[in-house]
Amino acid sequence: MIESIKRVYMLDVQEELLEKTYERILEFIENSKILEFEVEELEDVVEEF
Amino acid sequence: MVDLAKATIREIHQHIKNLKIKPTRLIEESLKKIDRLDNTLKMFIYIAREEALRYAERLERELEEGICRGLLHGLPFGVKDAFYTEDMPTTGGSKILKDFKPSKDAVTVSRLKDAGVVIIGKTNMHEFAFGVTNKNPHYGFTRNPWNVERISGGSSGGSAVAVSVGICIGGLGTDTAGSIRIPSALCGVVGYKTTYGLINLEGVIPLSWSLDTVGPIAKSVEDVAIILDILTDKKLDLTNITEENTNSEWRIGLPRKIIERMVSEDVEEVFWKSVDKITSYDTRLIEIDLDWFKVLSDTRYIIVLSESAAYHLKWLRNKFNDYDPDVGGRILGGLFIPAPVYIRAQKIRNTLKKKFLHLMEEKKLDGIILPTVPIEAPRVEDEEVVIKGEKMGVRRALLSLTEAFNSLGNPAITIPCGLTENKLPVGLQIATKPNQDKLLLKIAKHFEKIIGRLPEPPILS
Repeated sequence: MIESIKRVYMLDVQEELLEKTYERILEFIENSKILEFEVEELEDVVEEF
Repeated sequence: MVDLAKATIREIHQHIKNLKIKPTRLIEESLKKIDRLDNTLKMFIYIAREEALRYAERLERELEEGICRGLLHGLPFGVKDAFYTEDMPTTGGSKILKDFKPSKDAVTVSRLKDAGVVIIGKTNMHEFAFGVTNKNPHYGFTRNPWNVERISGGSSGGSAVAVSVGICIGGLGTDTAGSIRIPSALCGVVGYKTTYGLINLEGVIPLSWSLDTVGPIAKSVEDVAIILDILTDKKLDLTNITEENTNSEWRIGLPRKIIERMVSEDVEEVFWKSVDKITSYDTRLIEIDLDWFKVLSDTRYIIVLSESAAYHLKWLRNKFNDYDPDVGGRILGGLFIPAPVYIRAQKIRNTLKKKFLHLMEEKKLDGIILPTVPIEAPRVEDEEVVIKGEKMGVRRALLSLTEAFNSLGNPAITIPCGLTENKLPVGLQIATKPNQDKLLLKIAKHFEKIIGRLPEPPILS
Protein backbone atom coordinates (compact mmCIF):
# COMPACT_ATOMS: atom_id res chain seq x y z
CA MET A 1 0.00 0.00 0.00
CA ILE A 2 2.63 2.53 1.08
CA GLU A 3 4.91 1.52 -1.80
CA SER A 4 2.02 1.96 -4.24
CA ILE A 5 1.18 5.40 -2.86
CA LYS A 6 4.82 6.37 -3.21
CA ARG A 7 4.92 5.13 -6.81
CA VAL A 8 1.60 6.61 -7.93
CA TYR A 9 2.27 10.06 -6.49
CA MET A 10 5.99 9.87 -7.39
CA LEU A 11 7.01 10.84 -3.87
CA ASP A 12 10.56 11.03 -2.60
CA VAL A 13 9.55 10.61 1.04
CA GLN A 14 10.71 7.99 3.55
CA GLU A 15 8.31 5.05 3.77
CA GLU A 16 8.35 5.21 7.56
CA LEU A 17 6.98 8.77 7.46
CA LEU A 18 4.30 7.74 4.95
CA GLU A 19 3.34 4.80 7.15
CA LYS A 20 2.98 7.03 10.22
CA THR A 21 1.02 9.66 8.28
CA TYR A 22 -1.34 7.01 6.93
CA GLU A 23 -1.97 5.65 10.43
CA ARG A 24 -2.57 9.16 11.76
CA ILE A 25 -5.17 9.93 9.08
CA LEU A 26 -7.00 6.63 9.56
CA GLU A 27 -7.07 7.24 13.32
CA PHE A 28 -8.51 10.71 12.75
CA ILE A 29 -11.22 9.40 10.44
CA GLU A 30 -12.07 6.65 12.93
CA ASN A 31 -12.38 9.11 15.82
CA SER A 32 -14.26 11.74 13.82
CA LYS A 33 -17.98 11.93 13.21
CA ILE A 34 -17.55 12.02 9.42
CA LEU A 35 -18.61 8.46 8.68
CA GLU A 36 -21.48 8.18 11.15
CA PHE A 37 -23.04 11.64 10.70
CA GLU A 38 -26.40 11.50 8.97
CA VAL A 39 -26.19 13.50 5.77
CA GLU A 40 -29.69 14.32 4.53
CA GLU A 41 -28.84 14.62 0.85
CA LEU A 42 -26.92 11.33 0.76
CA GLU A 43 -29.69 9.49 2.58
CA ASP A 44 -32.23 10.83 0.06
CA VAL A 45 -30.20 9.46 -2.84
CA VAL A 46 -29.86 6.05 -1.19
CA GLU A 47 -33.62 5.98 -0.51
CA GLU A 48 -34.39 6.69 -4.18
CA PHE A 49 -32.40 3.65 -5.23
CA MET B 1 2.99 63.72 13.80
CA VAL B 2 -0.14 61.58 13.99
CA ASP B 3 0.20 58.31 15.93
CA LEU B 4 -0.92 55.41 13.72
CA ALA B 5 -1.29 53.20 16.80
CA LYS B 6 -4.12 55.43 18.03
CA ALA B 7 -5.60 57.39 15.09
CA THR B 8 -8.39 56.13 12.86
CA ILE B 9 -8.45 56.23 9.07
CA ARG B 10 -10.81 59.22 9.08
CA GLU B 11 -8.64 61.13 11.55
CA ILE B 12 -5.45 60.60 9.52
CA HIS B 13 -7.27 61.38 6.29
CA GLN B 14 -8.15 64.83 7.64
CA HIS B 15 -4.42 65.59 7.90
CA ILE B 16 -3.38 63.89 4.66
CA LYS B 17 -5.95 65.44 2.33
CA ASN B 18 -4.78 68.96 3.22
CA LEU B 19 -1.12 67.91 3.14
CA LYS B 20 -0.77 68.86 6.79
CA ILE B 21 0.92 65.46 6.92
CA LYS B 22 2.64 64.41 3.70
CA PRO B 23 2.29 60.77 2.62
CA THR B 24 6.09 60.48 2.27
CA ARG B 25 6.52 61.62 5.89
CA LEU B 26 3.93 59.11 7.08
CA ILE B 27 5.68 56.28 5.23
CA GLU B 28 9.10 57.35 6.52
CA GLU B 29 7.75 57.21 10.09
CA SER B 30 6.40 53.70 9.52
CA LEU B 31 9.72 52.56 8.05
CA LYS B 32 11.55 53.94 11.09
CA LYS B 33 9.21 52.01 13.35
CA ILE B 34 9.89 48.84 11.37
CA ASP B 35 13.63 49.40 11.86
CA ARG B 36 13.05 49.79 15.59
CA LEU B 37 10.72 46.84 16.16
CA ASP B 38 11.00 44.23 13.43
CA ASN B 39 14.16 42.54 14.73
CA THR B 40 12.14 41.60 17.80
CA LEU B 41 8.65 41.12 16.39
CA LYS B 42 9.46 39.57 12.95
CA MET B 43 6.43 41.11 11.28
CA PHE B 44 7.79 41.39 7.73
CA ILE B 45 9.18 38.97 5.18
CA TYR B 46 9.87 41.80 2.73
CA ILE B 47 10.15 45.50 3.56
CA ALA B 48 9.20 47.58 0.51
CA ARG B 49 11.30 50.60 1.44
CA GLU B 50 11.94 52.02 -2.04
CA GLU B 51 8.67 50.91 -3.61
CA ALA B 52 6.62 52.44 -0.78
CA LEU B 53 8.45 55.78 -0.83
CA ARG B 54 8.20 55.97 -4.63
CA TYR B 55 4.44 55.35 -4.52
CA ALA B 56 4.00 57.82 -1.65
CA GLU B 57 5.80 60.51 -3.69
CA ARG B 58 3.37 59.91 -6.57
CA LEU B 59 0.37 60.13 -4.22
CA GLU B 60 1.79 63.30 -2.71
CA ARG B 61 2.08 64.91 -6.16
CA GLU B 62 -1.55 63.99 -6.83
CA LEU B 63 -2.63 65.76 -3.63
CA GLU B 64 -0.63 68.82 -4.65
CA GLU B 65 -2.60 68.77 -7.89
CA GLY B 66 -5.86 68.51 -5.98
CA ILE B 67 -6.45 64.80 -6.62
CA CYS B 68 -7.48 62.66 -3.67
CA ARG B 69 -8.43 59.03 -4.28
CA GLY B 70 -10.39 58.67 -1.05
CA LEU B 71 -10.04 57.88 2.62
CA LEU B 72 -7.08 55.51 2.14
CA HIS B 73 -4.99 57.92 0.03
CA GLY B 74 -1.36 57.76 1.16
CA LEU B 75 -1.89 55.42 4.13
CA PRO B 76 0.59 52.59 4.92
CA PHE B 77 -0.63 49.02 4.65
CA GLY B 78 0.79 45.54 5.25
CA VAL B 79 -0.07 42.68 2.91
CA LYS B 80 0.27 39.06 3.97
CA ASP B 81 2.87 37.35 1.83
CA ALA B 82 0.21 35.03 0.38
CA PHE B 83 -1.01 37.80 -1.97
CA TYR B 84 0.62 38.26 -5.39
CA THR B 85 2.47 41.56 -5.74
CA GLU B 86 3.98 42.38 -9.12
CA ASP B 87 6.81 44.55 -7.79
CA MET B 88 7.71 42.51 -4.69
CA PRO B 89 8.51 38.85 -3.95
CA THR B 90 5.66 36.55 -2.85
CA THR B 91 6.92 33.63 -0.79
CA GLY B 92 3.78 32.32 0.92
CA GLY B 93 6.03 32.22 3.98
CA SER B 94 7.90 29.32 2.38
CA LYS B 95 11.40 28.44 1.27
CA ILE B 96 9.87 26.77 -1.80
CA LEU B 97 8.66 30.12 -3.21
CA LYS B 98 11.51 32.29 -1.93
CA ASP B 99 12.37 33.52 -5.43
CA PHE B 100 8.81 33.80 -6.78
CA LYS B 101 7.96 37.17 -8.34
CA PRO B 102 4.41 37.22 -9.70
CA SER B 103 3.73 38.96 -13.01
CA LYS B 104 0.69 40.78 -11.64
CA ASP B 105 -0.98 41.89 -8.43
CA ALA B 106 -3.75 39.97 -6.70
CA VAL B 107 -7.12 41.59 -7.48
CA THR B 108 -7.37 42.76 -3.86
CA VAL B 109 -3.87 44.28 -3.89
CA SER B 110 -4.66 46.06 -7.13
CA ARG B 111 -7.86 47.51 -5.63
CA LEU B 112 -6.00 48.77 -2.57
CA LYS B 113 -3.31 50.41 -4.69
CA ASP B 114 -5.95 52.07 -6.88
CA ALA B 115 -7.52 53.43 -3.68
CA GLY B 116 -4.21 55.09 -2.80
CA VAL B 117 -2.92 52.58 -0.26
CA VAL B 118 0.88 52.42 0.10
CA ILE B 119 2.06 48.83 0.57
CA ILE B 120 4.92 49.07 3.01
CA GLY B 121 5.83 45.40 2.98
CA LYS B 122 4.84 41.76 2.78
CA THR B 123 3.96 40.48 6.21
CA ASN B 124 5.13 37.30 7.89
CA MET B 125 2.82 34.31 8.01
CA HIS B 126 2.65 30.65 8.93
CA GLU B 127 4.13 28.70 6.02
CA PHE B 128 1.55 28.45 3.20
CA ALA B 129 -1.06 29.70 5.72
CA PHE B 130 -1.21 26.13 7.04
CA GLY B 131 -0.94 26.83 10.76
CA VAL B 132 -2.05 29.31 13.39
CA THR B 133 1.06 30.07 15.47
CA ASN B 134 3.18 32.09 12.94
CA LYS B 135 6.23 30.14 14.13
CA ASN B 136 7.92 30.35 10.74
CA PRO B 137 11.30 28.55 10.57
CA HIS B 138 12.32 30.40 7.39
CA TYR B 139 11.48 34.04 8.25
CA GLY B 140 11.32 34.05 12.05
CA PHE B 141 8.68 33.54 14.74
CA THR B 142 6.29 36.51 14.86
CA ARG B 143 6.10 37.78 18.45
CA ASN B 144 3.20 39.30 20.31
CA PRO B 145 3.56 43.06 20.99
CA TRP B 146 1.75 42.61 24.33
CA ASN B 147 4.43 40.20 25.52
CA VAL B 148 7.28 39.19 23.22
CA GLU B 149 7.61 35.84 24.97
CA ARG B 150 4.21 34.97 23.49
CA ILE B 151 3.19 34.07 19.93
CA SER B 152 1.27 36.48 17.71
CA GLY B 153 -1.02 33.76 16.44
CA GLY B 154 -1.46 33.18 12.72
CA SER B 155 -1.43 32.57 9.94
CA SER B 156 -1.84 36.31 9.23
CA GLY B 157 0.26 37.18 12.31
CA GLY B 158 2.57 39.72 10.67
CA SER B 159 -0.35 41.86 9.49
CA ALA B 160 -2.03 41.77 12.92
CA VAL B 161 1.16 42.81 14.74
CA ALA B 162 2.00 45.57 12.24
CA VAL B 163 -1.48 47.06 12.79
CA SER B 164 -1.26 46.61 16.56
CA VAL B 165 1.97 48.63 16.85
CA GLY B 166 0.81 51.31 14.41
CA ILE B 167 3.18 50.62 11.52
CA CYS B 168 0.23 50.08 9.22
CA ILE B 169 -3.26 51.53 9.29
CA GLY B 170 -4.56 48.23 7.92
CA GLY B 171 -3.45 44.76 6.99
CA LEU B 172 -4.60 42.17 4.52
CA GLY B 173 -4.99 38.57 5.65
CA THR B 174 -6.48 35.25 4.65
CA ASP B 175 -8.79 33.14 6.80
CA THR B 176 -9.38 29.44 6.12
CA ALA B 177 -9.92 28.30 9.70
CA GLY B 178 -9.32 31.44 11.75
CA SER B 179 -6.11 32.92 10.30
CA ILE B 180 -7.34 36.52 10.43
CA ARG B 181 -9.38 36.30 13.63
CA ILE B 182 -6.88 34.35 15.77
CA PRO B 183 -3.87 36.72 15.48
CA SER B 184 -6.18 39.75 15.61
CA ALA B 185 -7.67 38.50 18.88
CA LEU B 186 -4.29 37.65 20.42
CA CYS B 187 -2.79 41.01 19.40
CA GLY B 188 -5.77 43.18 20.41
CA VAL B 189 -6.99 44.40 17.00
CA VAL B 190 -10.11 43.96 14.85
CA GLY B 191 -10.05 41.14 12.27
CA TYR B 192 -12.74 40.35 9.73
CA LYS B 193 -13.51 37.05 8.01
CA THR B 194 -15.83 37.76 5.10
CA THR B 195 -18.73 35.67 3.84
CA TYR B 196 -17.24 32.95 1.63
CA GLY B 197 -17.08 34.28 -1.94
CA LEU B 198 -17.53 37.95 -1.07
CA ILE B 199 -13.99 38.95 -2.07
CA ASN B 200 -12.14 37.90 -5.22
CA LEU B 201 -9.38 35.36 -4.45
CA GLU B 202 -7.51 35.71 -7.76
CA GLY B 203 -3.80 36.07 -7.04
CA VAL B 204 -3.92 34.62 -3.55
CA ILE B 205 -1.90 31.46 -2.87
CA PRO B 206 -4.63 28.94 -2.02
CA LEU B 207 -4.78 26.72 1.01
CA SER B 208 -8.24 25.22 0.58
CA TRP B 209 -10.44 26.46 -2.25
CA SER B 210 -13.80 25.75 -0.68
CA LEU B 211 -12.90 27.42 2.63
CA ASP B 212 -10.44 30.25 1.80
CA THR B 213 -11.50 33.85 2.38
CA VAL B 214 -9.61 37.13 2.53
CA GLY B 215 -10.29 40.13 4.72
CA PRO B 216 -8.94 43.18 6.51
CA ILE B 217 -7.29 43.71 9.87
CA ALA B 218 -7.45 47.18 11.46
CA LYS B 219 -7.72 48.91 14.80
CA SER B 220 -11.45 49.65 14.73
CA VAL B 221 -14.64 48.28 13.20
CA GLU B 222 -15.07 51.50 11.23
CA ASP B 223 -11.58 51.15 9.71
CA VAL B 224 -12.31 47.53 8.79
CA ALA B 225 -15.54 48.64 7.08
CA ILE B 226 -13.73 51.33 5.08
CA ILE B 227 -11.13 48.84 3.84
CA LEU B 228 -13.72 46.14 3.14
CA ASP B 229 -15.67 48.56 0.98
CA ILE B 230 -12.65 48.80 -1.35
CA LEU B 231 -12.10 45.02 -1.44
CA THR B 232 -15.61 43.76 -2.19
CA ASP B 233 -17.09 42.98 -5.59
CA LYS B 234 -20.54 43.88 -4.32
CA LYS B 235 -21.49 47.46 -3.58
CA LEU B 236 -22.28 47.12 0.11
CA ASP B 237 -21.68 50.78 0.95
CA LEU B 238 -20.17 49.68 4.23
CA THR B 239 -18.79 53.08 5.18
CA ASN B 240 -22.39 54.08 5.88
CA ILE B 241 -22.33 52.15 9.14
CA THR B 242 -20.42 55.05 10.59
CA GLU B 243 -23.21 57.53 9.96
CA GLU B 244 -26.17 55.35 10.82
CA ASN B 245 -27.53 55.03 14.33
CA THR B 246 -26.21 51.65 15.43
CA ASN B 247 -28.25 51.38 18.62
CA SER B 248 -30.66 48.54 18.02
CA GLU B 249 -32.29 45.82 19.97
CA TRP B 250 -30.09 43.01 18.72
CA ARG B 251 -31.08 39.41 19.43
CA ILE B 252 -27.82 37.55 19.93
CA GLY B 253 -27.33 33.80 20.33
CA LEU B 254 -25.03 32.63 23.11
CA PRO B 255 -23.67 29.03 22.98
CA ARG B 256 -23.13 28.85 26.75
CA LYS B 257 -22.36 25.11 26.93
CA ILE B 258 -19.54 25.43 24.38
CA ILE B 259 -18.07 28.42 26.19
CA GLU B 260 -18.22 26.77 29.59
CA ARG B 261 -16.68 23.55 28.26
CA MET B 262 -14.08 24.84 25.78
CA VAL B 263 -12.84 28.20 27.08
CA SER B 264 -10.12 28.73 29.72
CA GLU B 265 -11.07 30.45 33.00
CA ASP B 266 -9.01 33.60 32.37
CA VAL B 267 -10.52 34.20 28.92
CA GLU B 268 -14.01 33.33 30.17
CA GLU B 269 -13.77 35.95 32.90
CA VAL B 270 -12.96 38.74 30.41
CA PHE B 271 -15.61 37.48 27.98
CA TRP B 272 -18.45 37.44 30.56
CA LYS B 273 -17.53 40.94 31.74
CA SER B 274 -17.93 42.24 28.20
CA VAL B 275 -21.19 40.30 27.82
CA ASP B 276 -22.45 42.05 30.98
CA LYS B 277 -21.62 45.41 29.43
CA ILE B 278 -23.39 44.57 26.18
CA THR B 279 -26.53 43.32 27.89
CA SER B 280 -26.68 46.33 30.19
CA TYR B 281 -27.79 48.24 27.06
CA ASP B 282 -30.43 46.97 24.68
CA THR B 283 -29.00 43.68 23.40
CA ARG B 284 -30.93 40.55 24.28
CA LEU B 285 -29.09 37.25 24.69
CA ILE B 286 -30.76 33.99 23.72
CA GLU B 287 -29.08 30.78 24.79
CA ILE B 288 -28.48 28.33 21.94
CA ASP B 289 -27.13 24.82 21.63
CA LEU B 290 -24.56 24.14 18.91
CA ASP B 291 -24.10 20.44 19.66
CA TRP B 292 -22.72 19.87 16.14
CA PHE B 293 -19.78 22.26 16.59
CA LYS B 294 -17.24 19.41 16.82
CA VAL B 295 -18.48 17.87 13.57
CA LEU B 296 -17.72 21.10 11.72
CA SER B 297 -14.20 20.95 13.08
CA ASP B 298 -13.75 17.42 11.72
CA THR B 299 -15.12 18.38 8.29
CA ARG B 300 -12.89 21.45 8.13
CA TYR B 301 -9.80 19.34 8.85
CA ILE B 302 -10.63 16.72 6.20
CA ILE B 303 -11.36 19.38 3.57
CA VAL B 304 -8.21 21.46 4.22
CA LEU B 305 -5.96 18.40 4.10
CA SER B 306 -7.51 17.06 0.88
CA GLU B 307 -7.58 20.37 -0.98
CA SER B 308 -4.12 21.49 0.14
CA ALA B 309 -2.60 18.15 -0.90
CA ALA B 310 -4.14 18.59 -4.37
CA TYR B 311 -2.55 22.05 -4.72
CA HIS B 312 0.81 21.07 -3.23
CA LEU B 313 1.27 17.77 -5.07
CA LYS B 314 4.05 19.05 -7.33
CA TRP B 315 6.10 20.25 -4.33
CA LEU B 316 5.35 17.15 -2.25
CA ARG B 317 7.03 15.28 -5.11
CA ASN B 318 10.20 17.27 -5.54
CA LYS B 319 10.60 19.77 -2.69
CA PHE B 320 9.31 17.93 0.35
CA ASN B 321 12.44 18.63 2.38
CA ASP B 322 12.00 22.39 1.89
CA TYR B 323 8.77 22.46 3.92
CA ASP B 324 8.60 23.16 7.63
CA PRO B 325 8.40 19.46 8.69
CA ASP B 326 5.17 20.10 10.62
CA VAL B 327 3.45 21.79 7.64
CA GLY B 328 4.78 19.35 5.03
CA GLY B 329 3.77 16.38 7.20
CA ARG B 330 0.19 17.63 7.53
CA ILE B 331 -0.19 18.39 3.81
CA LEU B 332 1.17 14.92 3.04
CA GLY B 333 -1.69 13.51 5.11
CA GLY B 334 -4.15 14.81 2.52
CA LEU B 335 -2.94 12.14 0.07
CA PHE B 336 -4.38 9.45 2.35
CA ILE B 337 -7.92 10.78 2.67
CA PRO B 338 -10.33 8.61 0.68
CA ALA B 339 -12.61 10.46 -1.75
CA PRO B 340 -15.83 9.27 0.01
CA VAL B 341 -14.61 10.83 3.26
CA TYR B 342 -13.89 14.17 1.55
CA ILE B 343 -17.27 14.11 -0.20
CA ARG B 344 -19.10 13.26 3.02
CA ALA B 345 -17.29 16.15 4.73
CA GLN B 346 -18.57 18.55 2.05
CA LYS B 347 -22.10 17.14 2.32
CA ILE B 348 -22.05 17.42 6.11
CA ARG B 349 -21.15 21.09 5.71
CA ASN B 350 -24.27 21.63 3.59
CA THR B 351 -26.47 19.83 6.10
CA LEU B 352 -25.08 21.89 8.99
CA LYS B 353 -25.35 25.15 7.05
CA LYS B 354 -29.09 24.45 6.76
CA LYS B 355 -29.31 23.58 10.45
CA PHE B 356 -27.52 26.79 11.39
CA LEU B 357 -29.79 28.94 9.20
CA HIS B 358 -32.84 27.19 10.63
CA LEU B 359 -31.62 27.91 14.17
CA MET B 360 -30.99 31.58 13.37
CA GLU B 361 -34.46 31.95 11.88
CA GLU B 362 -36.30 29.92 14.50
CA LYS B 363 -34.78 31.98 17.33
CA LYS B 364 -34.97 35.19 15.28
CA LEU B 365 -31.28 35.86 15.87
CA ASP B 366 -29.29 38.73 14.38
CA GLY B 367 -26.00 37.10 15.29
CA ILE B 368 -24.18 34.88 17.75
CA ILE B 369 -21.27 35.65 20.10
CA LEU B 370 -18.52 33.66 21.72
CA PRO B 371 -14.83 34.23 22.47
CA THR B 372 -12.58 34.19 19.39
CA VAL B 373 -9.80 32.12 20.96
CA PRO B 374 -10.30 30.04 24.13
CA ILE B 375 -6.85 30.79 25.58
CA GLU B 376 -4.61 33.84 25.96
CA ALA B 377 -1.57 33.99 23.62
CA PRO B 378 0.56 30.91 24.40
CA ARG B 379 4.29 31.15 25.13
CA VAL B 380 6.51 30.63 22.10
CA GLU B 381 7.83 27.31 23.45
CA ASP B 382 4.39 25.91 24.38
CA GLU B 383 3.34 22.83 22.42
CA GLU B 384 0.35 21.98 24.62
CA VAL B 385 -2.12 23.87 26.80
CA VAL B 386 -4.61 22.77 29.44
CA ILE B 387 -8.21 23.99 29.26
CA LYS B 388 -10.52 23.05 32.13
CA GLY B 389 -8.26 20.09 32.97
CA GLU B 390 -8.04 18.81 29.41
CA LYS B 391 -4.63 18.81 27.74
CA MET B 392 -4.54 19.61 24.04
CA GLY B 393 -2.17 20.83 21.33
CA VAL B 394 -1.79 24.60 20.92
CA ARG B 395 -3.01 24.47 17.31
CA ARG B 396 -6.15 22.53 18.20
CA ALA B 397 -6.96 24.97 21.02
CA LEU B 398 -6.39 28.12 18.93
CA LEU B 399 -8.64 26.90 16.11
CA SER B 400 -11.44 25.47 18.18
CA LEU B 401 -13.85 28.45 18.15
CA THR B 402 -13.13 29.94 14.72
CA GLU B 403 -12.99 27.07 12.23
CA ALA B 404 -16.72 26.27 12.34
CA PHE B 405 -17.53 29.58 10.63
CA ASN B 406 -15.27 28.72 7.70
CA SER B 407 -17.12 25.45 7.28
CA LEU B 408 -20.45 27.29 7.42
CA GLY B 409 -19.31 30.16 5.15
CA ASN B 410 -20.53 32.86 7.58
CA PRO B 411 -18.94 36.24 8.06
CA ALA B 412 -17.32 36.57 11.51
CA ILE B 413 -15.44 39.36 13.22
CA THR B 414 -13.23 39.62 16.28
CA ILE B 415 -13.10 42.79 18.36
CA PRO B 416 -10.91 43.32 21.44
CA CYS B 417 -12.95 42.96 24.63
CA GLY B 418 -10.40 43.29 27.43
CA LEU B 419 -7.17 42.01 28.95
CA THR B 420 -6.50 38.93 31.08
CA GLU B 421 -4.67 39.15 34.41
CA ASN B 422 -1.44 38.63 32.43
CA LYS B 423 -2.32 41.77 30.42
CA LEU B 424 -2.96 39.83 27.23
CA PRO B 425 -5.83 40.70 24.86
CA VAL B 426 -9.04 38.69 24.54
CA GLY B 427 -11.20 38.78 21.42
CA LEU B 428 -14.99 38.75 21.24
CA GLN B 429 -16.21 36.91 18.14
CA ILE B 430 -19.49 37.80 16.46
CA ALA B 431 -20.98 35.91 13.50
CA THR B 432 -24.11 36.42 11.42
CA LYS B 433 -25.76 34.49 8.61
CA PRO B 434 -23.88 34.41 5.26
CA ASN B 435 -24.14 37.64 3.23
CA GLN B 436 -25.08 39.70 6.25
CA ASP B 437 -21.71 41.44 6.36
CA LYS B 438 -23.22 44.88 6.75
CA LEU B 439 -25.40 43.79 9.67
CA LEU B 440 -22.38 42.15 11.29
CA LEU B 441 -20.35 45.36 11.07
CA LYS B 442 -23.21 47.35 12.60
CA ILE B 443 -23.48 44.95 15.54
CA ALA B 444 -19.69 44.93 16.00
CA LYS B 445 -19.51 48.70 15.94
CA HIS B 446 -22.25 48.92 18.53
CA PHE B 447 -20.50 46.43 20.84
CA GLU B 448 -17.10 48.09 20.29
CA LYS B 449 -18.55 51.40 21.42
CA ILE B 450 -19.96 49.83 24.60
CA ILE B 451 -16.88 47.75 25.46
CA GLY B 452 -14.31 50.44 24.64
CA ARG B 453 -10.89 50.13 23.08
CA LEU B 454 -7.65 48.70 24.50
CA PRO B 455 -4.63 50.80 25.47
CA GLU B 456 -1.48 50.63 23.35
CA PRO B 457 0.57 47.42 23.56
CA PRO B 458 3.38 47.72 26.14
CA ILE B 459 6.14 47.45 23.54
CA LEU B 460 5.28 51.02 22.46
CA SER B 461 5.61 52.60 25.90
